[in-house]
Amino acid sequence: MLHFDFSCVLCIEWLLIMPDDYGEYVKSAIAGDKEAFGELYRIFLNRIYRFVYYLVGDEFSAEDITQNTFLRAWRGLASFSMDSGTFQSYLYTIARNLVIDSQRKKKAYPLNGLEEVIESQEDPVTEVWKGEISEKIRQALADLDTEDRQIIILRYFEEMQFGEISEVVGSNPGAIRVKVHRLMGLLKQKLEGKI
Amino acid sequence: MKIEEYLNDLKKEYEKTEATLHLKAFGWDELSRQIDPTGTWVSFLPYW
Repeated sequence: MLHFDFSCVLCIEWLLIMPDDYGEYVKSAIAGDKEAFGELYRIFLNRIYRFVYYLVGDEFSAEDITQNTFLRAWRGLASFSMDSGTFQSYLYTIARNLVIDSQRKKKAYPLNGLEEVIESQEDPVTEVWKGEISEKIRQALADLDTEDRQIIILRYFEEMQFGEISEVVGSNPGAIRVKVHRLMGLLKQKLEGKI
Repeated sequence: MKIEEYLNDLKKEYEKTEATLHLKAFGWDELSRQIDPTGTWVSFLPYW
C-alpha cells in the first residue's frame, strides 16, 4: 500500500527550489504575476511562520501575522527594489513590524513566549534539552525582550549576515554586530549563573 | 561546550517548526482571494 508522506513532499519541493532561484519569482511578482507570488509564498511560508511563532508564542497570532506579512508584501511590491535589499529581508521586516504592532495592541506581551513554544513541541528532541545547561540557555533566551530575541533568531537560526539583519531591524551592520556580541555575553553570563 | 553550540541545538528545534496545516492547505487560497477578490482562480486541492 502506498504511503503518502507529507513531509517528503515538502523536502522534495525544497530541494527543487533552492533559495537562490527565487529571484525570477520576485521579478515576476513585482510585475504583477500572482502565481509567481504564490511560489514565493510557498518558499517562505514555513520560514516566516516559525520566525513569527518564536516571537509571539501562539499559533493563532502566528498564522494571522504570517498571512498579513504576505498580504502587505504583495501590496508593497511596487515600492520594493531588489537593489535596496533582499526580498528575504523585505519579508522579515514586514513580519517584524507586524509583531511589534501586535505587541502594542495586546499591551501585555508574554516575554516567555519562546519557552512556551519549545515546551509545546510535539516532537521533543532528545537529551539535549534535558540537561541543566540547556534549560538555562532556553530560559535565558526566553528572558530576552522581543527585540533582542529576534536578533539572536535572525543571526543564529536564520543565519543572516549583519548587513541583512540591519535591514530587517532598521539599524546599521556595525551596531548589530556590537549588539550580537553584547547579547552573547549576556547569555553566557546567564548560563554561568553570574546574573 | 560553547554557547554557540547550545544555540545550534536550539536551532535544530527551531527548524522543525513548520506552518500550521491550515496555512499549508488553505493559506494561499485565502491570501489569493484577498490579493484579487475578483479573481476566478480556485484551487480544488491543498496548495501543498
